Amino acid sequence: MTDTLRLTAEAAMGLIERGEASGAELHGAYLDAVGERDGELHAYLTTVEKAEGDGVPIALKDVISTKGVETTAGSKILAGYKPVFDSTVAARCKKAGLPTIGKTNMDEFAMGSSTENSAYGPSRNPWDPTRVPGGSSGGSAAAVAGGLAPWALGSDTGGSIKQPAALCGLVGLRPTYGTVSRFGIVAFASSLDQVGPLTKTVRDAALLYRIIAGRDPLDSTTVDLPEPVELPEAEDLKGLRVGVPTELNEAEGIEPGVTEAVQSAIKLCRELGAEVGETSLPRSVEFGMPCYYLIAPSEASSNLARYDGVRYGPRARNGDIREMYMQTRDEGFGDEPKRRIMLGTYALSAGYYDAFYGQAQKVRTVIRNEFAAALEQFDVLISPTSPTVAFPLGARTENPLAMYLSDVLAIPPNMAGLPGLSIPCGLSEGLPVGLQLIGPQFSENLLFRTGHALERALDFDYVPERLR
Amino acid sequence: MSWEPVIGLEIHIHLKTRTKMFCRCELEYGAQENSRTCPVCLAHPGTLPVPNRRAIEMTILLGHALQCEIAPHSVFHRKHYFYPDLPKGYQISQYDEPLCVSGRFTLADGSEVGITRAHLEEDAAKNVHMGGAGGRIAGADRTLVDYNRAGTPLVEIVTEPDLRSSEQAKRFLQLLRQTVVELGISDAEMEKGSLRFDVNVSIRPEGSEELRTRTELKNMNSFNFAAKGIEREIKRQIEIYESGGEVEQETMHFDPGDESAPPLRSKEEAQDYRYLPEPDLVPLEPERELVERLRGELPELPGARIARLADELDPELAEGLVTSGRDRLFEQVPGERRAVANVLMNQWAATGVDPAVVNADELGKLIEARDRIPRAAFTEALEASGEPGFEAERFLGDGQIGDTADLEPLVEQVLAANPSQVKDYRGGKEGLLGFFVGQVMKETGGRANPKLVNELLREKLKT
Amino acid sequence: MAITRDEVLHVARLARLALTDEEVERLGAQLSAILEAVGKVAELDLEGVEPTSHPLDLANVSAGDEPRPSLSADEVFANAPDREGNFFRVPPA
Repeated sequence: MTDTLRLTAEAAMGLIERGEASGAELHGAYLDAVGERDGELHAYLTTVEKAEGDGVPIALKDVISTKGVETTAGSKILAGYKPVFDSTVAARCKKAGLPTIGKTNMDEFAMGSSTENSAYGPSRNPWDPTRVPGGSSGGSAAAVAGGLAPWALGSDTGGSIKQPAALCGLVGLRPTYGTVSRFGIVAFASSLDQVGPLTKTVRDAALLYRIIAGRDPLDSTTVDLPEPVELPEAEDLKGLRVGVPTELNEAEGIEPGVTEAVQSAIKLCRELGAEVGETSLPRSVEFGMPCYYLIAPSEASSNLARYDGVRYGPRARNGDIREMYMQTRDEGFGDEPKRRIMLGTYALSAGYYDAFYGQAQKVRTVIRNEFAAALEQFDVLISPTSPTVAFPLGARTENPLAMYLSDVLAIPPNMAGLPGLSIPCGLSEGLPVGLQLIGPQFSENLLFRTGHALERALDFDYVPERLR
Repeated sequence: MSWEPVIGLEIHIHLKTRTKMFCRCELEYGAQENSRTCPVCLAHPGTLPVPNRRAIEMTILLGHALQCEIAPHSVFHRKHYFYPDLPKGYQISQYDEPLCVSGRFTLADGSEVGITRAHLEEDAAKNVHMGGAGGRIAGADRTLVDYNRAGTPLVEIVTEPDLRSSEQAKRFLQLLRQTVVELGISDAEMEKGSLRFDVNVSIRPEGSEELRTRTELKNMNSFNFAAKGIEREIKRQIEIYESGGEVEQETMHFDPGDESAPPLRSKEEAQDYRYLPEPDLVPLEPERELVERLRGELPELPGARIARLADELDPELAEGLVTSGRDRLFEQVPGERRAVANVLMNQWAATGVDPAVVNADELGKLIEARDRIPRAAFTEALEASGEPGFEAERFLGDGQIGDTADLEPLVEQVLAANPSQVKDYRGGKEGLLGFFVGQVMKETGGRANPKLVNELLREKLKT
Repeated sequence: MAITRDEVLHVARLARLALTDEEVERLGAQLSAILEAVGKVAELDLEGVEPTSHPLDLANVSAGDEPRPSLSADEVFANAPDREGNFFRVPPA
């Protein structure tokens, strides 16, 4: 009887290698678990009955195009849409023999921090189903934490892998921009979107990253990894210089319980042999959010222009072509995409471009430079991933700005194109706290090494207490 | 008041690549609708563009031909608007950092037209409006969309408003068209839509430097049509100014099917395209080596050849030879230049012979002897100049046909054609021999050997 | 920095969104608040700072002019809302 709650991908690989279980059997076990528990969690939008592949089954965020399998990006405007092609990451998973368990729930078009913006209803946090699992990759996080998948892929634009990982007690990697193909990933913000793993352990994250990373000729913005992905082994942090940026650790809104757990983790770094020091990112935190909330919606307003009911998706059938466009889009998009489309359209419109989008692109340079300077003195920067633990469903839905603040700590490194690994570092009021590790571009191996050593020392139990 | 036209052109040409600009669907004119499409050019969610390297190289080559500066750093932009022929809701084009800038194009008469820019972009799909009269938008009850064309590489060339007459605009278009065809980068055929252009027209008092309001003329589908359209517009604007009015900024949409129909006029609101640097594409920074290699691949272009030939010929003759595709032959045919040029442009042109198959030396000999042989013979010889083994000799020498085998059938033909005269001759009217000789001479363009003709006629008439 | 009702309508039109009066009201108010927050970027004097368009310093990525297979008609129209023969059909443009 497979303990789907506890089984890691690496352990599953071991079972398969030793012939103790087949990929198909595991796939079946997870589908059974979905049948039992997903009614409560609503992690999945679609399940795939047939196991194609003999490797470790995987859950894929519904932003990832999968040939012949409905892909909605959490939106009504793609209801019933079945891609005729596989995204590159889906193809690479297929090639590695990983059978898809299903497509997971998400905030519509990856816009959100709780999955409450999904057109198909929110997902729930396996640690406390009255609370959000985070977003936008909330479905993937709920699936892995809830024992409904051994590992999953999510996507991160403004923290959408890191934050749900933090809120659900999981490991989440937002890779260096350009190391994972975006071909077939329903686009939100092109210069920020990246697909990455949500897993129970750091080694699992490394294993999955290895499968999906690398240059794709179908995506002009990708590059090859400068060095192969290494599975971390070391359990100490000797020789590592860890920087603690004041602004990321003392920002307004960080709960005391979060600060406490993170401080403990920082202390642990020292005990493991790291050199820890303070550093500063004077403007990156203060200006990170405004910068993000100009660039991302601008690119989104452009990427969402193709949803017009002409070639795919539902179509409003009345009036002339202009009316068709307007009705189709108004009916198909939820509030958050509408807000961001309008914000982006405004920011790009004649007369406003320089002050808004243009200025935000310059702020991005400032942020990039600040991180580069800090990372000259330190190998890794450390902070909480999210200012709070998982919040109750409905707590922030009336106030978009309050919701946006969920990502105030996750966003700044994203603006600089930097990778970030979130690992669970403790509990606060019984709910997981995430620790964010930030490194220079292409430093995934270093992040895995750091994360793994901390994970071993912290010994955090990733199975939600109420499910043990 | 003397008025001076101020004309600028915006030309779009399809590049003759195998595949589309941002995906690798194979291009084929006339293919079944929606059979040359893929998730990228259909703008399926998550798809991304990858630029066609050959299209970039062709554009750089064109830039060299237009004496442009090839930008060291060039960027694609998204140009946003909603229309069913635009699947992404934006066109990938170039905005303020185009690939080629600041060039010039010299016409046959030596006049120079500034080229503001030449940039790369993708073409839209094709809309077919159904249900209305003659496929026009008015009255249509539905629109059908074919995405085969969507994504075709296009180069947009924008000129400075340096053209000063409709005739000059026409010659610009003709020479530009020939240039891109000779570069091998485009078929530039208006009927197939691989060359399209819009014209901007304004006028100003002669000698002034001001730029007044211009109107845009769109959808003219031939160079002649364009010249006429420009002429009419110039006249219209003159009338307005001379009667104290102001020219309004307008767009005139012509009817490609009906040249004489007045254009539909619209005051198009300045569109807000919300240009965004394309985040899915990285900048173009053409390497020095590539740019220089392509510069070295430039053939001698039509404009340059006209200029060169105009040193030894009258400029109009030089232009005519180059634009009609006969200048290469001209350079190979020996003989006095003016004579050769004239014959090639007139009598030889009328034969329709393909310059590529002509034996140039023999043609030269023929042209040199043209005053010594009858005109009909010369024409016949020119018509034969494309045949394999063509020899001028056959039609020259003393020009005579002295072979019984050649003449006998002709003699018989003449006799058969004139039975009453044959009867009369045989009846005693021996003076008619002259008549028959004359007929044979007529048939042979005067080249038959009279003595032999006489002998043959006498023999055959004996019976 | 408040956004006026007219501006909301203008932007909605540009983005082809048919907003109800209720949406214009509610989303407009939310947009004003968000614009206020993002307008903060204006506080920085960034004269002379180069904009970052791409996180990586890449240039000249392109592909050779080699054809890849196009989609079959079944695939092209698999998700089509309306089809006539081998065309996509839409209301008159």
